[in-house]
This record gives sequence, structure tokens and C-alpha cells, in this order.
Amino acid sequence: MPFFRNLRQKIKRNSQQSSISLILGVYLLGVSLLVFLPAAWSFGLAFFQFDGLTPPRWNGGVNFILAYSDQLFSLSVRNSLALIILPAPVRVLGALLAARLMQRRGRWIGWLRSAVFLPSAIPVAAMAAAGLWIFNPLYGPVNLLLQQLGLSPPAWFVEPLWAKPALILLSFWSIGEGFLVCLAALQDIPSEIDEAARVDGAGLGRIFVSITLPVVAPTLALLAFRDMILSFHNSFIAIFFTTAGGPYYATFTVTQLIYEQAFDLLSFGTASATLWALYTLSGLLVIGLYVIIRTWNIGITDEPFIL
Amino acid sequence: MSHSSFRIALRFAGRLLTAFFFSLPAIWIIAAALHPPGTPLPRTLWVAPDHASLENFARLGEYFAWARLGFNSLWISLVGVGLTIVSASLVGFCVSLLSRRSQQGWVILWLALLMIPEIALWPTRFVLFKNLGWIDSPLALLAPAWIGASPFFILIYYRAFRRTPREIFDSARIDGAGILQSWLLVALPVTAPTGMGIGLLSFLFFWGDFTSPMLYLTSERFATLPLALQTLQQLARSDWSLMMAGVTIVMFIPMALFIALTPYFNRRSWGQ
Repeated sequence: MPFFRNLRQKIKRNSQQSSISLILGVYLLGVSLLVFLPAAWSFGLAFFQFDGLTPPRWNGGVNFILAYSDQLFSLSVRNSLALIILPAPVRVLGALLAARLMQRRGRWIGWLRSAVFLPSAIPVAAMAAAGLWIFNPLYGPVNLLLQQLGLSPPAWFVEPLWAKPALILLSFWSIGEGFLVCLAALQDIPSEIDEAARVDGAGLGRIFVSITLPVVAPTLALLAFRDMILSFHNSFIAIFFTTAGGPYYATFTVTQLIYEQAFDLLSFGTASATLWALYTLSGLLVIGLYVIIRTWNIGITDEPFIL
Repeated sequence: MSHSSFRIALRFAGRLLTAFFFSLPAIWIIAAALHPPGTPLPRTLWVAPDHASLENFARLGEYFAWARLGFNSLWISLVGVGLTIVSASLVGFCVSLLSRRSQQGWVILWLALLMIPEIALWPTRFVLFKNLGWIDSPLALLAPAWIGASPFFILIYYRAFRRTPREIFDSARIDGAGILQSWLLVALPVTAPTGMGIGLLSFLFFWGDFTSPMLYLTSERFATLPLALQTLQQLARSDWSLMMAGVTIVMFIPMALFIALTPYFNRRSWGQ
């Protein structure tokens, strides 16, 4: 009898194993079809001339020459650095500060936290369209506010010098996802540590730098990477609505360039060659990620929190 | 004692100010949308109109069929949310049952997937959908639900399952429950608050999706609300109160949903 019971358990376990494999297999199939295949495809398409209609034709490295000798390419890379890469750490730090401020319980804490997330509940396209009005030189509330303070505010999206700051400022409102992740990461710091440090005479700034920052550092690094990648997408929509890459290409990013090459000029090959620059960035981030995972042993230790 | 109550008051003031700062866009948008058309916009800091009017929303009908677009947005988002909850939780649950080593492999895969910008997939996904016949079909908009909409959602679910004591799943297994049964009858109910959070975030994902309909839809048949903003931006660029009425329509349902769910999240301590 025990033999049969063992056998039955074994079959049961095997059937469990196979349903786990089946479910994960379906997921991997989806990832392959929707992510890996398109990624590999455009990686290779860089060597072909392809308009999406006629079959692709091999043209060697011509696309790379076309893509990287384009003056717009280096300009768009510099703009992407300023609009996407550099603001990311600042946005993450802002999310952390907001989370630190809202960490402990207190009056109305739930609603106050929810207010911080509120702009992130606004769809990106809606927020972008609203940005046109918020930063409007004549009627926009931001400029009315600045005028009340006695300043003479710029015309934001219309001026080459001020279009970038306007886009970055607009993006500072939508940090809800990072805020939630930081909040969850901070919950894992036992409040006794805070109390002990305070009893020992540590000030708020000292506690933040010596206790909070080291504990949430890996989370912050992951969030900053994530923020950059997400910003490629979100800034595209914001720019699409507000400046369309102008004025005088001041806000023309790599994403705009790729969109134009692929969907306006139907030159998928050149677009793919430009995409190689993005894949390089993704590759660097994945390497950075791997280092972080190895250093902090994310995923195998019993740490309470992973992103 | 008084020192600490002073600190609490100071902290509360800081929190109020922060909350106010983050409420500003919504306040500004709605105030402008309620402004009666044809009258000049106020040039003072007090943005609330003296005579609030809903006329702008009626005028929106001249530019796009917002009822039909809203209906498309709604059903596509709801189907997307349902599919995402199923796929993200199933994958997260299955991975949480694997060995520690394989779990780390999956976490690395998800984090790596998070590092691929969506733009990198647009051109070839377009060609792929074209070959699959998904162009101008809701399938192109719903496709991400197959893979949990975002690896981020799967990670959150995975984390929730790992935080749940193992014994709960083990006892279900001893009672003879298969994977699907313990997922449906045990795992999903014990992670209900996570499910609510993912439901909300994935609703925002599908409802707010602007690029998929822009790239993959060719006719108006399945057009969703965010596309209407593009129409407004082109046709009514300087009619600010009209445009903000359009923005209000697009943001209304996700924002109302979020505000309605806040008491639920408040009871279950945020971010957990």
C-alpha cells in the first residue's frame, strides 16, 4: 500500500511539475513572440533595405553609415542624454524623498500618499496635452505663479533654451510608481533602528544618509535604470504633444528619430541601425543590473524586498 | 514632549504641501475645463471659474465621438486587466514554487526585460502584427496581456506569493489541489490586495496606452480615447478650455477609480 501511495504522490508531483512547465512555457512563448523575435529581427534588419512592403534586400553596412553620419543622430543622442538619462536619478531621488516624508503613520496619511500618486493616474498622453496648457506662456498657471513672484518667466515650449526644462519639470509630477516602490522598500527598515539612531543623537539628515540610503540603494539603482527606459517611451509622447521635437530640434530625441525613420520614411533598415544605439544602452544597463544582483544577492537570499 | 509635537506638526505641514504640489495638475486641468467657452481665461492665481460650466464637454462632440471612443477604451481596458491578472499571477505563482536557483534566473529575466525600451520593438512589432493580421484589430492593443502587460506586474505578484507563508500552499497541495486549483482557491484570495493594486496599475496601462493605437490601428473602428487628444491638439490647439475638457474625459475614469480605491489601500497599509 505505501508503494501505491508513493506512486500516487509521485504522479501528482509530476503532473504539478508539468503544469508549471506548461504555464511558464506559454509565457515564454509570448515573450519570444512579442519581445525576443522583434528585438532579434530589428537587430538583423539593420543590414537590409526594408520598407515594410517589399521583401527586405541586403545592403551591408549602408544603413549604419546613413544612420550614424546623420547630423540629427548626434544631436538626438545629446538631447536624449539631457531629457531622459540625466533627469532619471533626480526623479528617483524625488520619489525617495516623498516616500521618506510619507513613511510613518500620521493624520490623513493614506490620502496624502494617494495625492502624490495622483498625477501618475493621469494617462501620459493626457498629461502631455495638459502640459501645453500648464506651461502656456500667457495663460498657463505656472507662468501666472512665477509672475506673482515677481519673475519674468520664459515662453517654455516655444524657446529652444527653455523647452527642455519644461519637459523635465512636467515629468517630475509623474513619479508615482517610484514613490510606491520606495515606500515599500522603506517599510522594510525596522522603525527601531530609526529610534535607536535618534536616541543616539543622529539628526534627520544623518539618519537619511547613514541608514535609509544604504538600505534602499539597490532599489534606487534599479528604479533609476527602469526610469530611463520608461522615459524613452513617456518622453516621446510628451514631446509628440508639446514641441514635436522643436523648437529648432531642441527636444528631438533618439525616439523621435527612430519613429521618423520607421513610420514616416518607411526606412525600417535605417531605423534598426539607429536602434543599435539603444540596444547598446540596454545592454549596459543589463550588465549594471547583473552587478547589482550579484553584489546584493537579489533573488536568492531571504531579503524581504526586491523591486 | 513639545519638541516632538512641534516636529510632528512640521512634518504634517510638509506632507500637506507635498500633497498639494502633486494635486496641482489635476486642479488646473479641471478648473480650465469648467471655464465657460468664449470668455477670456483668468489671469490670476485663483483658477476656479466664477461661473463653472459643462459646455466644453458638449462641444467636444463636434471633434470626436467620445462616447464610442470611451466605450472602446473601457472594454479593451477591462479585458486587458482581466487577462493581465490571470497571466501575471499565474506566472508569478508558478515561479514562486520553483527552486531558489531557478527563481533567481526568472527574476533576472524580468529585470532584463524591464531594460528593453518599448521603442526598440515598435518597428518590427508593427511588421509582425501585420503578418499576423493583427493590424487594426483589438488584438494588437491586448497583446501585452499575454506576457503580464509588464514584467513589473509579474515581479510584484511573485513578491506577494513569496511573502505568503509556504505552509498555506503546502497544505492545499496535501489536500490534493493541483496548480490551477491552489492558484485559484488559495493564492489569488490571499493576495487580494496585490490583485487590487495590479488591477489598478494594469487598468492605467491599457487605458492610457497611446502609442499602440497610434501605431497599430488604421481605422477609427477600435480607436481609443487617448487618440482623441491628438485630434484636439491638431484642431483646437489654442482653445484651452476645450482641450482641457478633452484631457478631463481621458483622465476621469482612471483617476476616479484610483480615488475610489484609496480607502481600500488605506486599510491595508500602502506599498505592502
